[in-house]
Amino acid sequence: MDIGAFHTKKPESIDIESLGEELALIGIDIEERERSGSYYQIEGEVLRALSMHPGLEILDLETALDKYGDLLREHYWKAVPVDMDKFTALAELRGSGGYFVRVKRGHKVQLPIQACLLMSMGGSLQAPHNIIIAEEDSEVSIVTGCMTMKEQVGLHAGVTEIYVGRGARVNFVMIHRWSRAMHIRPRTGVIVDEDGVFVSHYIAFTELRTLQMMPRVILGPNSRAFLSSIIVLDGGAEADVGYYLELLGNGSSGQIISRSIVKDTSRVVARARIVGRGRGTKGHIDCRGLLLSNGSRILTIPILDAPSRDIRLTHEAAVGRLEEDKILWLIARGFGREEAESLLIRGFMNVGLPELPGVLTAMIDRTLRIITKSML
Amino acid sequence: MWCCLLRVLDVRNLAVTVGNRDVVKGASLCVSSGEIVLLFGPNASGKTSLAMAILGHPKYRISGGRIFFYGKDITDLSIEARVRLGLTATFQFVPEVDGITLREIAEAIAERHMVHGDFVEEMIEILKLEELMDRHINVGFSGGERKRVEIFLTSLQLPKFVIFDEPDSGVDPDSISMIGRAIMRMMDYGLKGALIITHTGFLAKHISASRAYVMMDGRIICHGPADAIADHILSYGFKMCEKKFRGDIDVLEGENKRVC
Repeated sequence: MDIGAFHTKKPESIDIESLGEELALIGIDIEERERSGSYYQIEGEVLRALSMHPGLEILDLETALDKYGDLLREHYWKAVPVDMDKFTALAELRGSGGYFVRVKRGHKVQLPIQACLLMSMGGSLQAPHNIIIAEEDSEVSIVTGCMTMKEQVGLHAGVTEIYVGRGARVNFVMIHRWSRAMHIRPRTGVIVDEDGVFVSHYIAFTELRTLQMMPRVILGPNSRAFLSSIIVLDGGAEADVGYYLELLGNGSSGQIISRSIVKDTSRVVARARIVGRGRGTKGHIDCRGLLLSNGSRILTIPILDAPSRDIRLTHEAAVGRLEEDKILWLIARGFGREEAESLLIRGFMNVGLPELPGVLTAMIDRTLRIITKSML
Repeated sequence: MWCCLLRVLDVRNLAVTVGNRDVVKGASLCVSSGEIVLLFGPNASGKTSLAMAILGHPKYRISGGRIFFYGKDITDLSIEARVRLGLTATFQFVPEVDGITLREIAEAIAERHMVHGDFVEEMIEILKLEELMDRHINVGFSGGERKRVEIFLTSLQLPKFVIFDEPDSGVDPDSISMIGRAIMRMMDYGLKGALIITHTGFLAKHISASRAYVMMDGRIICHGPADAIADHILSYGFKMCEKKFRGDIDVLEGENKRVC
């Protein structure tokens, strides 16, 4: 990809209020009713960075770097190496915007923070750098919703670094909805300290051109991670997505759950890699794909690396179509064919998210229902 | 062929083909309004094929004969159209549906058919399903639990007629009793008739079945009062059935006319 073809542009004036329903689909509530903070960015321009909780600080990254200086520099490009690839370099050299979220020690923030990143201009580059720091024993949920507001060519290459402190918990939900000429290259790195918990849930439903990402999560002693993704593609989209999970600390454990649904001529490469390092670590990969059209394709690539005997890593994978026997059974139970297919797709997308706040679960559920409808 | 007045289901000389194999070779039976009828037969005699063909399962192709439901010829209707008319069947092997809880699907079915919440709760109680309600449908369920779930979900459709395909196979005695109670409750709650496929007739003790048919090698070989046929099969098996009951055809017709 010629990254030189994309440029940071000044956004058009946009009436956010008029986008309420569309933004709700990517987890953004413009009325901020059940949110503890909000961040809005269009193209490279930051519109809003607001905390509504005393234990929470939300700033644009530039302001945060000015405020915290060397203290923040300790985290800056630590979870994601700046020289990882040309997209991280692009974010450093030509990117702009990005949020800084700090959850103060011991604070459990019940309502989620929302971060909305929009693109509106043809040929545009959006490359924000986000940093989330959850201090010791804190808890926070963040939903990041990204979308294009019209058909356009563009490149989204956001960098997100997440630091989960000792005994802290971060629930990170990212929902992407792009248009069919978009190229998406998020780069995410997560470092989880001792006894920390990190839950990631990525949903992409879109007609995008290409998507490539493999967030890297490193677990400290006795920490846990639940990493899930639901990729729903149609048109001629191509995606290469997955997670890399490193069980570094003794007693750490994690799961990677991936669900891909493809239609038309879209293709997904679903990767998952778990590397056991610490003693007594456990990891599991569950990777499944559903083909809704003959021209679509899913390739699953699970990798397990267990260099010592007390590491237990497992995986299961399956790719196929909706089972006709199940559809007919549901028809016999009174559902129409389309409803039966819809139910099976909904079930397929249920990854069993662990203990998310109710408002987040309800939001994800609503989005998945609409995705299901759009696929039939 | 003798049959009843006020027929809910009337199957005439039905032939069914699966792939290239003739599995039902001219079967006729009928069920009247308010009647529970048993269908006995050994393994691979064509009972499930007959049930699935009546339901309209596309894998079971009807190669001859007709099916009437409340007098309407439904032979050429799709499975969806038949279910819409109030005809359905429970499946012998119920699939797992990962990701959807029993409660979710039960609520969806109950809402669609405007089923009163008290009835839903009553069926959960009769079939002892409370502990299964928040689990994914049939995932990790025992054979008996699956049969109970299938009858529960079917009851929420408020069907007019159900073919229960071996609801008592591989099921412990307690579950058989629950299933029997559930079917009888369905009969009180609007079910107009049922055909129950069974190997053993264990369920017969818990329901009020009037008549029974016996199927062998794709054909109905005899019919008669449910109790008499069930007792005979338990004592002598299927083979003697034809000999015993064919000879009493006039008596049986008389008895069945009374039942009808």
